[in-house]
Amino acid sequence: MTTTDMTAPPALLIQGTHGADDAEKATLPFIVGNVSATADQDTVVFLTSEAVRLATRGYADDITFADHPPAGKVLAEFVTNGGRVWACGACTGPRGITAEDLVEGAAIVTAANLTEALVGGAATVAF
Amino acid sequence: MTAPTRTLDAPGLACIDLTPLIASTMRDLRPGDVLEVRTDDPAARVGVPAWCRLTGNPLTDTIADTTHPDDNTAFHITKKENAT
Repeated sequence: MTTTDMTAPPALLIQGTHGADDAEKATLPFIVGNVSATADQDTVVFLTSEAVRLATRGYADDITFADHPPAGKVLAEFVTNGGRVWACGACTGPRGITAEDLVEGAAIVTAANLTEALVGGAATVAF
Repeated sequence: MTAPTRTLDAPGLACIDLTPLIASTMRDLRPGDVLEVRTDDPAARVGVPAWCRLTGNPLTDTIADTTHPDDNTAFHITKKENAT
């Protein structure tokens, strides 16, 4: 399922809070998100705190846990399969991350976008 | 039992890869075609049916290898008629 409006409220919102500080928790949101996207579910991976770095080009490519594929590879597959990546604007700002730094399929959003998704009934899970 | 149109032999793959691979393989099929998925992942016995329910592609047969009751399974998934 592909949604052309990057900020449209999704059906499923998967939150990630970790980047290179925890490779397993950095990768899991995209693993679950990719399975969800390939099951035709409108899915957003919502990144906060250190996880917003995953949305920047190249950062996730070398983050690997155990025998899982690299986080960057799963992220790219997730986007190819119609998934969207939201990076929390309150978290990207202090880290100097701008829209120009982001991978394809990612956007910086605000608390209002998150609120809209939750009020709209998005199911959530967090890692 | 309907003969499969295509077979996906997927030993060693678990949920990280299996259902995304099923999805990408199904894209190449025509509505009504049957994909046989062979897997040795025990969790696929609950995961593949869930994927079929979510996508609306009917799971038409589940064939368990009785010599390896906890492992090998073949699923027949029929591509739904209104697939894009």
